[in-house]
Amino acid sequence: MWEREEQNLLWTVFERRVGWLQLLIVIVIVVLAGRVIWLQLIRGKQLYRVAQENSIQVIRQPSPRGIIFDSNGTKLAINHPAFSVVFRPVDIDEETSHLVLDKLSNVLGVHRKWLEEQYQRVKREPFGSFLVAENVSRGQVFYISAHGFEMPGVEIESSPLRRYPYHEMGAHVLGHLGQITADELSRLGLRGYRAGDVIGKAGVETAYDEYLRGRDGARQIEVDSRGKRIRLIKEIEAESGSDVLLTLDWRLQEICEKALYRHGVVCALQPETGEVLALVSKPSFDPNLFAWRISRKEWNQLFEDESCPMLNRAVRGRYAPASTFKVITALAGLETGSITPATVYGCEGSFPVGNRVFRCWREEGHGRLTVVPAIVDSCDVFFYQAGLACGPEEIAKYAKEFGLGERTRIDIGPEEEGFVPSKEWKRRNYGMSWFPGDTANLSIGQGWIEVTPLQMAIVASAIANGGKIITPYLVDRVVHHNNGEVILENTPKIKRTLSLKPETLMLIRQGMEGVVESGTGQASKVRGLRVAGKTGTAENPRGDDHGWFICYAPADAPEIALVVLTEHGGMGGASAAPIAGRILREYFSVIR
Amino acid sequence: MKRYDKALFWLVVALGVLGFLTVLSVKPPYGWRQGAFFVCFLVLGVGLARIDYHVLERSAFLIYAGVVILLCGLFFFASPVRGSRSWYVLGNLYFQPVEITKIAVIVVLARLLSQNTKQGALERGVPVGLMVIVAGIPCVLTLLQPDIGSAMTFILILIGMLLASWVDLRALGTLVAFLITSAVMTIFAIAQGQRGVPEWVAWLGRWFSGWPYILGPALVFAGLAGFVWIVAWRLGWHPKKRHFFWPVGVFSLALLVSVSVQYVLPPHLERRVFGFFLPEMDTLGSAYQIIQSKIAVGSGGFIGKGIFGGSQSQLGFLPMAHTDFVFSVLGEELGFLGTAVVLALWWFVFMRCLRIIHESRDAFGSYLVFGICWLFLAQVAMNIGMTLGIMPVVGLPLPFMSYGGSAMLGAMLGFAIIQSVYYHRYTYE
Repeated sequence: MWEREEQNLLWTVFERRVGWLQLLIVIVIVVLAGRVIWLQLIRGKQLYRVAQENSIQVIRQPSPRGIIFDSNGTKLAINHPAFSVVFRPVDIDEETSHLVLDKLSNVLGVHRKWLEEQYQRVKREPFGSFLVAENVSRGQVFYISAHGFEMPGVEIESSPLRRYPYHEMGAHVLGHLGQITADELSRLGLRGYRAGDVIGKAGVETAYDEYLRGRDGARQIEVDSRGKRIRLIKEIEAESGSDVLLTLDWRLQEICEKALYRHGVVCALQPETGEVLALVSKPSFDPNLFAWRISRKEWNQLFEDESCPMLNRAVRGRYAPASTFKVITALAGLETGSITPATVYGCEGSFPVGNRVFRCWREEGHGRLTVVPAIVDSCDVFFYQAGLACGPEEIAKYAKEFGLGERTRIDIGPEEEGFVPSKEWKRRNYGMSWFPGDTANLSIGQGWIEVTPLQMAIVASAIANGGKIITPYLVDRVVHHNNGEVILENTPKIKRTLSLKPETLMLIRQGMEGVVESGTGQASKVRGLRVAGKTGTAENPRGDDHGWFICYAPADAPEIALVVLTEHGGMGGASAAPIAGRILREYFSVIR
Repeated sequence: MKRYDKALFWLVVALGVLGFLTVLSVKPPYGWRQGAFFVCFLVLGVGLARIDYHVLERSAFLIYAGVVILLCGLFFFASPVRGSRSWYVLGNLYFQPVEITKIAVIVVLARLLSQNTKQGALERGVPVGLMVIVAGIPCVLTLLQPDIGSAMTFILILIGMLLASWVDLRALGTLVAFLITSAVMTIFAIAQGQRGVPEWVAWLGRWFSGWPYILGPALVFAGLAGFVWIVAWRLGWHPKKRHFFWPVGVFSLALLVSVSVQYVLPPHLERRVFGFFLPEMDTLGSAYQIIQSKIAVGSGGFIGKGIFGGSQSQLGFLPMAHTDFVFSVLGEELGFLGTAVVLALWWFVFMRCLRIIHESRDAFGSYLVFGICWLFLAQVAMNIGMTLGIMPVVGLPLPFMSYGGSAMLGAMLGFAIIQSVYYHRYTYE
């Protein structure tokens, strides 16, 4: 009883509430006791029999993944049935089991000792079974099913297996599959992933995994105490994942794959929308290797190879843009007014900056020239001077405006940002101030600046489309596997539009056309097609120079923006431009 | 020892020993740990009971702040275990702060009530808003982990403490009716979008799932309420207009909740909620557990299969046999004798609690014991009900019996508070 007198009225209210609690306690205990009596005393015998004789097993049925198509309906990733052999030794005596294991070992070429170990492990378990072999050939499947009566307890299970019919082609775009790791599981556990699931490990397979993966089905099966299946209680069909339609044009992809005969990148965009038309990164790998258990040797080959075949160079390779960057330097100069269309700089093959002498690629020099011929002949000395006149802040500003040093936000990850250096950055990292020589280096795209080939494709597109920075995308839409209903549709996204003077754009375009017409990029000339391009040769401390070529065509109404990078290919005009020329020739003569 | 409630002490020891033996029989290593937890926390609880429980009244909000910080910390420091961030992991030790949070919330609510019990409390009303916030914060935090079972417990605690207060019973009844109606309708609405549900569930669920279907149940219910209203009038009982509008309003509001949840919940969470509440229909997930649990309990019969002799639990048919489904194992191995003893033990525990509610020297103590008694009752009802297949599969532990250090700590803290209230019943300030 509460000690304070004044609370008596409250106490009477409270006491009544305690009465309610008491009533609830009675109800709970009575209901639970009633249920216990019902289950244990009234239905006890029956349930005892159920426990003795029957039990229910849930068997998951793996679902097929969605198909990946290119924009013309070519199937790029499909599913094949794969067969695995399971041995379920319930109800089978030791002697017979050993005979069966002998046969299995013969037919499937599995180690007899290993089979024996597995058998000893599972034979006492209630529904003990183990996987004898996965991905068995059709012949073996026929043999086993034909000799079924000689091999009691052997079952063949089928599950869909991912196939990539084009093997190494486009492997970096499509990606590959693998078992979910503990790390991924803890990250994605909430989204319905389970241990043992197969999940995309790269490319579209990862980025659109949520759509591509189907929903596993299940069968509830009543089995007796010896594991024999008595009847099917309930079945839920496996549902296929959704199909993914890419923006890629597989014919162009094939052309690019063939044209790029060495390590490097080809990257083709629709310059107005940002649809990726082709994306090649070489060396490549065969994603089919991962669909089934990959051997350690193959794994090591892929991941320890110095040429990094698993690396998608188009989005993760970092290269100096070299002379292709002159386009941006020229643009920054013209836009800020630090140079004009009529500004003339002289080139005598070299140019002193501070106490260093910077050379032009042509030793005898280009003479006196304005900005357009400077682009056409890729005169280094002109751009040293233009860059110094403009200043590193402005150049970096325009580089960043064009999307260098930032993620392109293409719909497959992960990608590199690249890097555009600045004064503060140098001070922080080197403890030194910015020298004019650094500006000279930056203005011809050498030094610290790093870009990915895809970023340069965006630069080429921006010049082609008049200053729109596009967001490239690979997946056009996701549709329901059965009824074609559109589940997700990607639309072109313009990141930002740069307001460039029409005159500036005209000059740059004129220069780039000149490059192909009469300048450093003549190797890319295509009869009957106006191509605008820019070559580049990236100096590389780790070996031969990388060759660059960025371009778009036709120059008057651009339909394609193309970037070719040849790793250690030497001069861009000699190594990359011919590849671009071949691609454009075939693309416009065969496809368009 | 004289001033303790010895009966309650021995009841808890009996429950703990039964739990220990059961866990030991399914998973011996866990069993020994369980034994160690039990002994340690029992000693701790008995020790803590000597401290005057008014310490809690003074530091209620400090304790509350502490547990809320612990809950928030989970979002930063906890790595997901089986899909939810509920545990702090320290090497081999797992700590689940939500278990002590339940006790802390009861303490704060009891203090909120008791500080308002001065003269004229009945006129001033109950600080309902404050109480909702106090229970709501941990509720939302656990929901985000996500741990639906524990989040529901906080709502139950709130309802329990409102029952203990002097709030109008009709209002409380309306609230409970609203919660139950909206929950049932939401679950059906979610279920109709899932695979493998029976025809009638899909049919029924569609009426709660969106426009214009919801017009159906709204009109039917309004018609029904109108009919009852008219019949009542004819029978000579003169209902007011609000007797029509109140129930219709509550029903429509519940309909709105069930519809809007559809828009808010992402599909994977919908699947989770579905599997959570309608396990019988979730063939892939919990249906299996429930069926196996019922078979396990039932097959125990009158005398059971003997400790360590349960085929269902020993052979691994029963998932989570040592934690949430410990009662099924006990039912299988010790039969009706075992389950009856457990239910009887709990009955006496609750009777002791009621006794102590009466003997407490002040309102704070009574409210504390009321709240803890209510929490134990809710957990017993949900957990045992679940194993017997009459309650949804809510991941709530059975106090003193389920394996788990955090759960044992929470239960023992509750036990310590009850003992402390009893211990200090003659201590005057």
